Amino acid sequence: MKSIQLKNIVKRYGNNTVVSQLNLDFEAGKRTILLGPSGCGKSTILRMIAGLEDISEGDLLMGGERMNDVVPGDRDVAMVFQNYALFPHMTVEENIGYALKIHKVNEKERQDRVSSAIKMLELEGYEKRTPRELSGGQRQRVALARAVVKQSHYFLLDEPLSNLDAQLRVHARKELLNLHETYKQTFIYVTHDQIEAMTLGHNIALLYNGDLQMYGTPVDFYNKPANVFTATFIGSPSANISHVTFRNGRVFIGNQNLVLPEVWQAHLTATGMEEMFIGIHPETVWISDTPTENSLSGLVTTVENYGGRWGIHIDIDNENWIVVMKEDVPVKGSTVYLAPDFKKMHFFHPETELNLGSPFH
Amino acid sequence: MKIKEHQLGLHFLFILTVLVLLFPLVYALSNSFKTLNDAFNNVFSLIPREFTLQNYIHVFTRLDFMRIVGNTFFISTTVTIFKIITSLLAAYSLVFFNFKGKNTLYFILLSTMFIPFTVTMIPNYLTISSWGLGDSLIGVLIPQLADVLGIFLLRQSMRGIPRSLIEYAQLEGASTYNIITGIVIPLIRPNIISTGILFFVNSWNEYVWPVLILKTKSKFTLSLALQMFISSEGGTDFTIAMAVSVMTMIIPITLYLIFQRYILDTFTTSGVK
Amino acid sequence: MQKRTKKGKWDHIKAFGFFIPVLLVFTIFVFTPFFKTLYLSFFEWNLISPKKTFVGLSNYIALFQDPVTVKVLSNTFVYILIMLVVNFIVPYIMSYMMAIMLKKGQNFYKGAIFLPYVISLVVGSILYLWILNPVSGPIGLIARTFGIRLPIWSKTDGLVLLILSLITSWKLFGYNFIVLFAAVNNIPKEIIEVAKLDGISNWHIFKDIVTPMSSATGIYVLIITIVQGLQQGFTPIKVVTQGGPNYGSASLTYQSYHEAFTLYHIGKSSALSVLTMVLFMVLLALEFYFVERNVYYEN
Repeated sequence: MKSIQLKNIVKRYGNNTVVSQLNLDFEAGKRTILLGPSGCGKSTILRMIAGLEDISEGDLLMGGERMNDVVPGDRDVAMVFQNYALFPHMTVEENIGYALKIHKVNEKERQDRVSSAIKMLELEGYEKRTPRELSGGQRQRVALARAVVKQSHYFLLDEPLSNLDAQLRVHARKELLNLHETYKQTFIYVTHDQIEAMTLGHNIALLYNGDLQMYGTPVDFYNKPANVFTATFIGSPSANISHVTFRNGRVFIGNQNLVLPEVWQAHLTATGMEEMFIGIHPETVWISDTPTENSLSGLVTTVENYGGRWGIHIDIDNENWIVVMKEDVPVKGSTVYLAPDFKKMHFFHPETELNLGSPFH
Repeated sequence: MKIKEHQLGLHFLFILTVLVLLFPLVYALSNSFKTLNDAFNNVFSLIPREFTLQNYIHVFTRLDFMRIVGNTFFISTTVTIFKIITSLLAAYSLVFFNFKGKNTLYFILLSTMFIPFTVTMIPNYLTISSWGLGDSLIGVLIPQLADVLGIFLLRQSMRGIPRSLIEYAQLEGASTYNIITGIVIPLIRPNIISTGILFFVNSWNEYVWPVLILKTKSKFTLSLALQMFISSEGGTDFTIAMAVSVMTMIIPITLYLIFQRYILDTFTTSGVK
Repeated sequence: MQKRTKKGKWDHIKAFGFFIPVLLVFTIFVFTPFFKTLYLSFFEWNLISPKKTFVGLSNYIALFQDPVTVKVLSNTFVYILIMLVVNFIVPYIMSYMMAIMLKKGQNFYKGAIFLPYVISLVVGSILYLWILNPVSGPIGLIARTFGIRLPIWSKTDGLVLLILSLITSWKLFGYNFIVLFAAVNNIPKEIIEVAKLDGISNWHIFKDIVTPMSSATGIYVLIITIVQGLQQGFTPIKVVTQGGPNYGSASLTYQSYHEAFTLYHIGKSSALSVLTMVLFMVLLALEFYFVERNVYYEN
């Protein structure tokens, strides 16, 4: 399998820059996720790799070869579109075999490959149906079969699960993993869904406004978010971010403060900064209804039932935090005391919003 | 039951409209099987008192009628095939290619719909004559080739094809030819058929150009043949004219009845821009 | 394997190449003639003579001094007016009745009403000529049993305009109707149901909700009614009256034809065509000016 490299890639539409100076490596045989909110440029990047969009500047290397100007049909990519792009006038079989037919693969081999793809994706019995006569999940599998049958080095997926309902999505995710374990293509997957990104990716590239926010493993994304945007994008509910002042070994939030452990004190003193953002994941705070040492007090404003977990909205001197807990849920209007897990908190630069690092990682 | 009466009134109105619009066709059909005498003395009965095929026989004996039908058919078919192919290509280019001035070009073409035919009539007549095509079938058909309606209708239907289908085909290395014949044409087939029928029917019914160009009877089209039997007082050729009318209508009506669903679908989307 | 590279230019050439046949026929039969007619309107010529005489604006001046032109113009406005009522207002209201009020039979009515659109206007003209024959046609005979003698409409000023517009409308009515029906039918049913729940009358629903919400198509049909009416209206005039009695039924399009191919006044005919063109443009502009501002686009 071959890798894909983007070198200083720029995409402009007229005066509007959608992707700016992007450098990204998609490792050979690995699953890389392009993650970000809608309009962040992730689909544009995928389409540039496929050759469906022109590249304004920079180099696209596929298997070490510069491919900027190669026609889409000669890039050896298989792609699954968000709407699946199945031909409504062709049967399942014809849809799956279309690429092979265009490439003039001989009849015998074509049938073999189509029927093995049909078996692989459990579409037996549906060969002669048209897409109209299939359920959403079946259509999605036809789209996958169509990509698999090509046996190409690169497998591009543009939000392939977004048209499925929640239950099917879990199943389809597992199926995608199996497929990739079988064929081990270089796999690029575009999504706005962090769960898909975390569960499917070897690596994740998070984008916002055409800029790369962070590249790393799913574990890194949670434990070491590169900046405020990453910390708020990952995790559900997202991390609590508040502006704090660091002075005399304490962080001041509103009128309250916490004494930081010595390792944090040393680490933050070394940065020479006083103003900064704190980032705390909602699962990393302990709540108690009696005052505890080194805690913040807050008023419970809302309690949400997530089903098995509870989201507690707490007002801490006008900072709104969410804390997730499983039991002993406080009632709305009560005062609670919050003690964060110091090992899992993050501090960010007040202007660049970059992570200031952690003594624990 | 106020609602029921309401519906009844509406149906009455629509049935009346249909009767007014379709009565002439029934009238023509009925009179084409009457004798002249019968037609004048038995105006109100739609069923002929004595059923006769004489009028149809007359048409074939007095005129080289098969030839006239053949001429009309030749012109309509040629015009249809040419316009479908050129409109298809132009529409494809407008929808799936990007080039500078695309929208301006389309706008200019579309605005020709609003040019009265008299504006181009004299120069086109001169062009046809200078090419030595006066009094010829080719001379009748070529000015009909400039028509933007097909581009408009086919562009409209091609815009309904999800772009991803074309992109997927490109990704698989399909050529433009593959895409047009293997994807675009099958997907918009109903629209191509109805556009084609419209072309055919319009050309079949064309009157201005045959009148201007054709002089020799053997080259006449149906519209001109019909005109030979007209006199506003009715006259002796009344029932024969009815037979010619029926035969002129029969092909467009048959085509319409067969492909009615496609045609109505294509047209209902044509106004919604 | 050698990989094919994208050639930006090649795509442009292909895109444009697909247009070549269309551009070719349009250049020969529409664009060039358009300017040629403009050119010819400044000359005096009889179509055959090798000599064309430049006469400046005198064809236009002659037109405006000619009482026939005034008659033709007023005929044309009457044609437009009648067709706007019969072919625009009536089908608009009927499409509302069918889309919102009628519960059954829509497909049948749609199919039947559209049918005359595929029939030749020469046929239509002939059929109505006899059906409406005041002496021996069914309508004339019915009238006679009531003791009424119908005037010979094809020779009666005014009436001839009405009948000829009705013949043209007979063909075009169905097209306008189904296009308007599609637009009215496209309006979300909830909006109309809410209005009905609020007890708003059908007339007010039509006036205040349906018309504004289908106005993009409405304008399209309005324009088409005028343009097609004058284009297609030529045929019944030519077949039935040849512009008579005494130019009493000649429209702008017919008169252009008549001047050119009966009287061989090429210059005058061209000037008249240019005038028709200008009239179309003015009407289009007026419509856009007055109506476009409040257009609601369905999509």
